Formats: sequence, structure tokens, C-alpha cells
Amino acid sequence: MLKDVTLGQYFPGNTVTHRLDPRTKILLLILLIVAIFMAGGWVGNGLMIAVTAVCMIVSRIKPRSIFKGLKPMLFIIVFTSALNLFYTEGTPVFPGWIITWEGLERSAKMVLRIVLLITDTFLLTYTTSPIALTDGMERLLSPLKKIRVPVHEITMMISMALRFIPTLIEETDKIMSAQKARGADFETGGLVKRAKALIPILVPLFVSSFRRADELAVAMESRCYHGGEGRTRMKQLRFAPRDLWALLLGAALLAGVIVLRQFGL
Amino acid sequence: MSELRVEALTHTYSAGTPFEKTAIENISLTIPSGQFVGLLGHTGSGKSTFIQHLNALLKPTGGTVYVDGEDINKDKKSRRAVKNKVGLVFQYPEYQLFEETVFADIAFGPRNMGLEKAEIEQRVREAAHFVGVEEELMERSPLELSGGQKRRVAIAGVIAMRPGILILDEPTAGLDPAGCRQIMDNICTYRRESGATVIIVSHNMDDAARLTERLIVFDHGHIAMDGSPEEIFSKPEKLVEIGLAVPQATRLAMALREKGVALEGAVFTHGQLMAALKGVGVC
Amino acid sequence: MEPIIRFENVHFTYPEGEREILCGIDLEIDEGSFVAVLGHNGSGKSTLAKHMNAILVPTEGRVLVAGLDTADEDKLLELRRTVGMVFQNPDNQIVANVVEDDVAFAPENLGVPPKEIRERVDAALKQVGMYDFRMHAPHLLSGGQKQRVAIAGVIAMQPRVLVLDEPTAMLDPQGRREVVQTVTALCREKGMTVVLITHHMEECIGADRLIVMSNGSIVADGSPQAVFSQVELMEREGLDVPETTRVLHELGLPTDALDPETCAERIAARLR
Repeated sequence: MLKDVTLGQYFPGNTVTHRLDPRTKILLLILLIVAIFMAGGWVGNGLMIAVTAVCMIVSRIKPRSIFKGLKPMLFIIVFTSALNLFYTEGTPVFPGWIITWEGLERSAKMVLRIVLLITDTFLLTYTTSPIALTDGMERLLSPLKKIRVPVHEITMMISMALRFIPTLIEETDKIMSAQKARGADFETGGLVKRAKALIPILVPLFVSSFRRADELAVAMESRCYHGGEGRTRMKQLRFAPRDLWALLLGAALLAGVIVLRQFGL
Repeated sequence: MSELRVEALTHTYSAGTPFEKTAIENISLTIPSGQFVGLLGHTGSGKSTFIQHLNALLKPTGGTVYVDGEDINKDKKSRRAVKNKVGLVFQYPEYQLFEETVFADIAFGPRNMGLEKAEIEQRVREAAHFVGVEEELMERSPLELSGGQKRRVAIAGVIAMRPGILILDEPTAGLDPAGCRQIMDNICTYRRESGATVIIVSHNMDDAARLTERLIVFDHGHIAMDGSPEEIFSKPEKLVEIGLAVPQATRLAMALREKGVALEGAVFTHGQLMAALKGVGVC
Repeated sequence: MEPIIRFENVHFTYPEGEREILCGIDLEIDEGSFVAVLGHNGSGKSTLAKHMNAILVPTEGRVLVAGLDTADEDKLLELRRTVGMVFQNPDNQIVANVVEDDVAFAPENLGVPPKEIRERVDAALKQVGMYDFRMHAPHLLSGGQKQRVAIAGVIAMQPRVLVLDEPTAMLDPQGRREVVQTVTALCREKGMTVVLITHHMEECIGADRLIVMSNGSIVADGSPQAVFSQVELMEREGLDVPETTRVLHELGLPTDALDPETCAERIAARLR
């Protein structure tokens, strides 16, 4: 059950998307997100759906993996769509109904936006190893080092967090099973009772996380880690012509969506 | 003091996905009340999946588990009730300790059973006694204890539920030889005094051979061997074939037989080896 | 030849602790040797290991590694690249989501040029037999495989000494065999000095030298045959003795055969 969470997962591969420089992919994602929010009419939105679909095909990411990733977000999606559905004024679908045609459209667009947003983000994390991702972030943010932002430390923490997500999920599963075997009940009762039922899981999880952090720090120091200074990288980031093309395409897409918006499409 | 019967038990993980994997297939066996059983097998042979079915933590994808003749997966109520009858101690159980005091942690199981305060208190003391946790530790935080002590407190937490069937998944993993011996002694004491059925998953062949009455060997999700230690270790070649270790005494006896020393009977403890050597006139 | 590790009257007590953990250790370890350290929990064997790469420094006495005093903070980096350390829990020493990225971590920290890192990573992974898994996610590997990745991550620093602090305590028998075989090969083939801390006596059988610790002191030190033949001492320390040694000891035969074949040979010879 918990093992199905796909957050931070990476599917190794050798497609064009996999080979793009992580910096390009991060910038592309930003362009895409802006474009998603710029898309106003159904033509613009349709274009975004098409682009995302093409990206999925090119990256050989199966729709199933995307659906699996979307599952935990279901609540947010349903919540926002309901909000838009019930609180938009306009012409009722049937006389006397609270649901309006405008509400239906806005709600549909909202759901589409969230789904596209999440899908595109997954396309990045599914095709980019966490190390490459954080490395790309570190490079993109490196100008901030001048104003004393600890860029290396921040990206290091992100990559550690990504590394330990599967380990901690596995551990949570184990602790839950062990407490269930002792008769713990996580499924019945009111909110307070259920919140209380989490204590036997959270306490051991915290205790072991602190121990892990301790041991990890010693292990890292033993492997000569001393901050970002003088560090080299095995995998060098290098811009290739395809990165330029990808960015140009991304920029053209954004421009196209903005133009469409002008015409109300 | 409960009887366990498993019929055609099968479990397939992630059924219907590309990650589909059958961990155990068509397992049938009966463990009579009060038996001391050792489960052997590689990591990934299916024994961990198997034991999690015995108290309904995992739902079978096929087959049925009966405890004292009742289907434990009949409904939600029976799935909960079986947790009080079948105690399961996971690997590294000390990682589940969470209460502020040793006493409260051991009491967690009995509290979940909804017992009276006096009854809980009595069971906690009794369980602590079985595993040799001294009275003065009861008010301490479990986090302050040594590794071996934590392990024993965690085992006491399950024993305090007075399960008729006690299952332990590698209770001695990661402990030093003295710690291992102590835990095994505790388990034997519990079994002797309570009469409970005990199932122990172990990688330690010497312990398994010496202490249990029956050994069940898992291999690739099936039962490869099932019998008394005498029966199992009279065919040590088969264990070697599966890739499992044999007790050191058995290993040495095999080498001796190869050298033409005709030792009598099954050999799996030091005592048996010495007796067999005496039998051929070595000493 | 100058020993690669030298302990001179080392005492150690934790700052807030009362009990002395190490009580005057004198020890020399030769370069290229395979040394196993055996002892029950709390005997001080892990503390001893942690002194070898300055995770801990003595409260009295000193530790010299390849001529470097471990208390000298200016030489810390040099010391740590000389002595690689592998710990008990493989999950808590793997830092990356991809095997090869993890192995690259130490050379990256040392500022090794990218091309050379690649070569070192490939060589290290081949040495521990994990090259085919270089693109895998570590959390999907078995315990023994994870621990071999951890070993690769350390030998990519090209250390002269490999210290392993109970690397097999959390592994199944298969994983234990994998780890012991790997470190034995590193010592025999690459001439690396190996210090293996353990409480499994069967892992010490292939070592050149076996040290037994108890209550912060060394109570036995010699070849595995010589140490195991002190059956009474081992029992007093709560440690196991190989069945082969025990049988030979009880039969009153010389206890210098640890493997079952040689031992059986001895016993058979007596029958004839």
C-alpha cells in the first residue's frame, strides 16, 4: 500500500528526455508550468494536453505510472473541482440548481491544470536521477551563492531527502505491521482516536530517523565529505545542441499559448 | 495452546501488475497444539510472507488459515480476534518500542485487548519475568536500555498478550552469542511454562536443530522439507542443495563419513557427534 | 617494516561517561594483513574501530595511522582517505539513489577529476562484483549487495586500510558470506589491510590474526587456530568456538585444524 507511492522515483532509460541536461529540463518545466497557467481557452488547453502526451510518448513513460502518482493527489483535485463547481455564479445547468455552466467549465479547466502540472513534474522526476536533478538545481541557483545563499547545502539536503523516502516508507510499513500485531487499531474510531493511534508509529519512526541521521553523518564524514568546497562531479553537465532545441521549442510553445490567449482561444 | 491449520495457502503480491510475484504457493500443513517448530529457508523463500498470514496481517490470495478450527479471515471481527491468539514478533522488534516506560510498552498489547487494569498489570509482570526484564527497569525509558534488553522488552510486549501461538521472526538477529543464548532460553522457558505453540524463523541452524521438535524448510515459495530434526539432518545433502547451511556438527560428520568413518545415526549437535565418535571407537 | 596502525597505551572514556571503554590498548597492525576482532557487545571492539579513522580520539595515549596522529585535526582528510570505514547498517551509509552515484561520492568529495572518478567507480564496483548493478536503486538490493556497494564506495577512495565495524550483523548467512569473501579478496588480491570487527566466530577463520576483546582490553591475540584453541577462555568470554576446535580439544588432539576437511582427516588418522 504505502509502497505504491511514486514520489521521487526515477525510471532509468535512454530516451531523448533522459539525455537532456537536467538544467534544460528544469527550465522547460518552468516554461511548461507558466504555459499551463497562461492557457485560457480550450484550444490552448488542448495544445497543452497534446504537448504533455507527446512528452510522455517520447520519454516512454506509461500512463499507468502517471495515474499511480496522481492517486495521492486525488483529494486535492476533487476538492478544488468541487469548490469551483459550487461557487461559480452564472447560468444554472437546470433551473434552480446551484451548479452552473460556467462552474462546470472552470472546474474542468482547474482539474486539467492540476493534472497537467503534476504530470509534467512527474515527467521530470521520472526521467532525471535525483543526483542529476539536484546537481542541475545547484548549478542553476549558483548565482545565489554570491548573496550567501547556501545553495550546495540546500540541494544536498533535497537529494538526501529523496534518497531516504523509500527507506522511510519501508520502515513505516514495518512498524505499522508490528503494532497491528500487538492489536493496534488504525481504522476505526473518531478523528482524535485515530490521531492518537498514530503515536505508536510516529515515535519509533522519529527515534529511528534520528539514529539514521546520526549514523549517516558519521558515514559521510568518513567518506571525506566536508561541504561543497573543492567538490568535483563524476557526471559533468554539458549543454548539447538538443538542449538548445528543446528550450527554443519550449519558448515557442509559451509564446504560442500567449498569442492564443489574446484571441480568447 | 492453539492448533494451526493451513490449507492451500497462496499469496501473490501486486497481482495483475507487471510487478506480480507469487511469494508462496499452495502451502498446506497442520501444526498441533504445543509443538515447537523451526522455519528455515533463504531470504525471499517465502517464510516471512507465510508467517504474516498466520495472524491475518496479510490476506491470502488463495487458501485458508484456521486457528483452533476457525477461519481467521472469515470477517473483520475474526481478523482482529486472531491477533490476540497468535502473537507475532517481527525482526528487530526493538524498533517498535514507543512508550515512555518499559512497563507501558509491554502493556500496549494487553491494553488494546481491553483488559482490566489489574489483569494488565499481572500480565506485564509475568511477561517481563519470562524474558528476564528486572523489576527496576520497568519505570525506565525503553530507549535507555541496551540492545539485548530492548529486544527482550519487545518480545515481552507480545508475550503479555498470552498468545496460544507465538511466532518469532529471527529473534536473535544482530545479537552477540551471549545475547542469542539468553533470548533462546527465554523462549524455551515461555514455551515450557505456558504450553504455547512456538514457531521460530531462524538462520541459525545450530539453534534450530538443537531446540525444536520439527523443522519446515521453505524454498521458492514451497515446502521443500518437513520433519523432525533427526529426519531433516539424516539427509543433510538436500539442505546443502537448497543452499542452506547445516549445523557445524553435521558438517563435520559429513566430512568424517567421506573419509570413511562410519558414524551412526543423524548428527546435528555436539553431544551426538561425540557419542557417534565414541561408537566407532575414536575415544 | 613500520606498522600501518599503531595504538600506544590508548585509553578512552566518553565525555559524559563514567566507565572506561578502552583501558590501555597497545596494538600494532601490519600493512596488508587481515585482522579480525572478536568480542561480545560492550567489549570495546567498536570503540577500537572508531579510533582508527578519528571518529573518536583517545582520552589518553595516541593512535598513529600511516604515521599520522589521529588527534591532528589538520590531517583529518588525509587520514580518512587512508582508512576507509564500513558500518553495520548499510541503509545508513548509502547517500545516493543510484548505485554508481553513491560509489562516486567519496572521490567527488576529494576533488578527483571526473574522468578518473568514472574509472575508480567502475573498478571499485567490479572488485566487489556489483558492476552489473551500477544503475540500480540501492533500496531494492539485498542486504549483502547493499553492504558490497558500501564497500565499493569506500575503496573508491583508494584507502590503504579498510575497517569494517560489524558489517555482517544485520545480514543473512548468504549476505555474510558475500561480504567476508569480498573483503578477503581485497586483502589477498589488492594487498589492502583489512580490520574486521565481528561477533561471528566463523568469519574470523580466514583471517591472519584474531584479536579477542573484553571489557576494554585485549585478552587474546594470535592466529585464529591459536586463539580458538583456548577453549576455556573463549567460553568465559561468552564467545563461540568452532565445532572442529571443540571436538579436537575434547579428543585431546592438536587444535590447529579449523576447516571440517582437515579436522576429519585428523580424526580419521587417529582411527587407523
